[in-house]
Amino acid sequence: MTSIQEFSVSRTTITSRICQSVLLICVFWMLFIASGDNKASQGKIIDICIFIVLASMWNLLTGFSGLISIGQQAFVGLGAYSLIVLANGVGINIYLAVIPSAIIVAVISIPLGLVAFRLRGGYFAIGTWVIAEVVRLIVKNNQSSVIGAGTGTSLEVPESLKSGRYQVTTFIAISVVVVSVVFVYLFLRSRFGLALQSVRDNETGARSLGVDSYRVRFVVYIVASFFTSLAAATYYIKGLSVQPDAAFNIGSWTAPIIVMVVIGGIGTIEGPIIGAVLYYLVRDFVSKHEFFSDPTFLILTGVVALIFALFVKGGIWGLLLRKFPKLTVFPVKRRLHIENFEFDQRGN
Amino acid sequence: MNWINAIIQGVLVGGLYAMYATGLSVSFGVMRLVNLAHGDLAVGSAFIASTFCLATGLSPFLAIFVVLPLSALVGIGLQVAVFNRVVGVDPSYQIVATFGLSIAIQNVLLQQYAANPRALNIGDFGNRSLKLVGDDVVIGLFPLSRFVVAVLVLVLLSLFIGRTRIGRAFRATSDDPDIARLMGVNIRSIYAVAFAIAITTVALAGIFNGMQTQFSAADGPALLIYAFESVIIGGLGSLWGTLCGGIILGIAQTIGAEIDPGWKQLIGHLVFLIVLLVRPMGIFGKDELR
Amino acid sequence: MSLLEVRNLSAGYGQFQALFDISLNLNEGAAIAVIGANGAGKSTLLKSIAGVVDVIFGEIIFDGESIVNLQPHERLNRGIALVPEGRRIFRSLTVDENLSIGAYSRRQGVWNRELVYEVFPMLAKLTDRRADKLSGGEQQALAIGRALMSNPRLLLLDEVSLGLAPIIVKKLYEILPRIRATGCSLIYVEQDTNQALSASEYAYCLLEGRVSLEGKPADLSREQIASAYFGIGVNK
Repeated sequence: MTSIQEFSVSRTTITSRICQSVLLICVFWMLFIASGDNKASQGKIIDICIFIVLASMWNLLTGFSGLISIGQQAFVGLGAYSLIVLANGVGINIYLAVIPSAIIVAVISIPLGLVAFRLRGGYFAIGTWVIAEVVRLIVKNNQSSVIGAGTGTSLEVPESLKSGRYQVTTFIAISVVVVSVVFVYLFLRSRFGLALQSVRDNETGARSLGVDSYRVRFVVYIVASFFTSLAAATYYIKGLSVQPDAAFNIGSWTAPIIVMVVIGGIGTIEGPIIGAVLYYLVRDFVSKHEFFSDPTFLILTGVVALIFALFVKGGIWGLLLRKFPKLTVFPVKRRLHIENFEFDQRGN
Repeated sequence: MNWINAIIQGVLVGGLYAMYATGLSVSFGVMRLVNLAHGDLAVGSAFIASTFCLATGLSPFLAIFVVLPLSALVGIGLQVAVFNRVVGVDPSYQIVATFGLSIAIQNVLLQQYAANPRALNIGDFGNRSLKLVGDDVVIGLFPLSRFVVAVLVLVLLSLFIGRTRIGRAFRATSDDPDIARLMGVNIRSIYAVAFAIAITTVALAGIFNGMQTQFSAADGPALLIYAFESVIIGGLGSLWGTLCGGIILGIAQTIGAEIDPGWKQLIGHLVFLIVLLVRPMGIFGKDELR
Repeated sequence: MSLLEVRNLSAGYGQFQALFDISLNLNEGAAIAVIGANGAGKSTLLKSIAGVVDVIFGEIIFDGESIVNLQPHERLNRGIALVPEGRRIFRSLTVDENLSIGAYSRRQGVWNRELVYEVFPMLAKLTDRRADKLSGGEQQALAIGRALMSNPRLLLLDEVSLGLAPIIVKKLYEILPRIRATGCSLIYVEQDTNQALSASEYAYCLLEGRVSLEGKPADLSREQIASAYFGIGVNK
């Protein structure tokens, strides 16, 4: 047996560095467009960024924490309305109100989570939906003029901010997506992320090692609500008009998000990004060329999600990994380097 | 007196909710399957019944005898093609698969039948009622018979699960599927029967619902939520608990509607949330299928 | 006449292989013991025979026929019944219902409720009691009775003495000759060697998934058994 004299542990690989550089180039390209005048492109970038954030957060909940949520639309709506309250009601600058609105939603998510966490698995999922419905109905029946009840309301943009709105919003969207993806990456690399995945893989085992599975999952729930509402705020700074039935609509928000992550690959950092971009491009193409009516497109998305969930559980990223096992963009696994040899956790 | 009528109405509609919930309860109890397309299957059955009635001119009550066996077959087909692949694996895939199924079914219905609401015509029967306490307390004859049917279904199911050989196999599978296999139980067959029961009860409920109110393609999710709330309020693992849960939900909704029409669903949801917070195992909750 | 023959069996759980090249023979009407330390593969062996663990390589011949590709319920229909490790009775069913489900396969034979209650009188008093309200010894008796209801030709007993007081274990083993008398062959898997060896005609000792010793109990010395059990002085 050879003795090991020198070894080191690292996470980055050459492939991951290359892929990360490619992503960095994409970010610069988006920033370039953001500083220009092409509103159409800016709008597209905003939408893609928002969906990447929403998909990543749903994936963090479902793929990494085992919290299957079909109620994320609650936080989209709450994000929209807390932005409205801060901007229209309190009078804060619409851009400055984005982060505080997300903080408010994160705080609101605590009592919501306390209720939701009474349930597990599939029933937890429906529970999150019921909670979203409750919030929607409360907002809809609300009498305050700021919120505007069932007919909804609009974000008020002062004259001075009107001209640069799309540009600033694009910058915000890019910042939000970069921060959230980097956050997820660092989070999963941390001790906390390790605890989270151990709970997902084997909760009893993790608890016997001292991991507080409830607390770990609850923190993720709050974090996901924060970033989801950041994305929502960005969306409504672009779109301006907010109605409860649209903002809290499961079909407009949760359905596409789930399809994106399933196609991309549940449980991987790269999956949601791929899925979001792919879905957006397809939907854009389909709606421009009027290939399908809306219901037909939705039938297809439903069937695609079903097929992927049954037969292609790893999503597109999973398929790519099978062809190129060394492919990685956000490496979370550690590698052992012994003298001149390298092994990864699979013993390759 | 309006309050008393509201409560009676709530009790009777609770029977309907319990019928929706039965399928959810059985499939979760036996297979740990939560089918998000559950409500959509009810709506789909109502549409099929409606198509049948329009084509043949027969009464919706007769349509039941056609639609129910059909739905049992569809159920077995779905079980074999879809659900067997997601039972026992990571529940995320189960939720995603049934969610995709739900979206697909809703939009197929939308495509076929457009967004226009429909109703099943039961003629005069829908208008008849019993009058008690002079003219003040009124019980609709149709809601009453619907409630009776619901109770009958629960009685039959209860006897089936409690007294028959296959019912015992259901309970054994629910307790410990691996050991049930060792007893010679063919788990795949049991799952198919369980799901067939789930889909036929929900189809029956969907048809009954369509007899009194208008239904449209997007109604499925609301029915799923009512079913779910009935199960949770009443308690997992108890069929009679589900009936009570349905009744409580129904009363909460009708009382809410009396206070303010916009509050019907909200009060129901709030009662559900309160039960979940205060007594998460439900009012009659146990940890098994009975 | 050989009832069960296991030839060069390798089996395991996913990527984890638990059994390596195991060969074993059981004649009709006989009782054999499989002993070994925790994790030696004894349970895995019984589960492979019953069909709940995947076979990687090798053959299992029951009554002259290969059963490797049969599902558990198909093996039960042929007469192989397992009393699982940890009892695993159906908690929400009563004692009587547990026995009924044992007869699900409707195999014909001597065993029925009355006979089971006669052999296990402690259960006769508890027919309507929910199974999860029984004591450890009662649950073990129920697990055995439930397996008997399928009228097996081969009964696999997986660590029936685990967690039970010695006096209860003694009682259970006293009942086993009655079971044999009805024509049932037995394989006991035990960590406690004494009981198992004294009740069998042939024994196998497993160590880390391989057979480390086999023979008639009378021919095996204490030292031989100890070294085969613990792997002392055995070349790997």
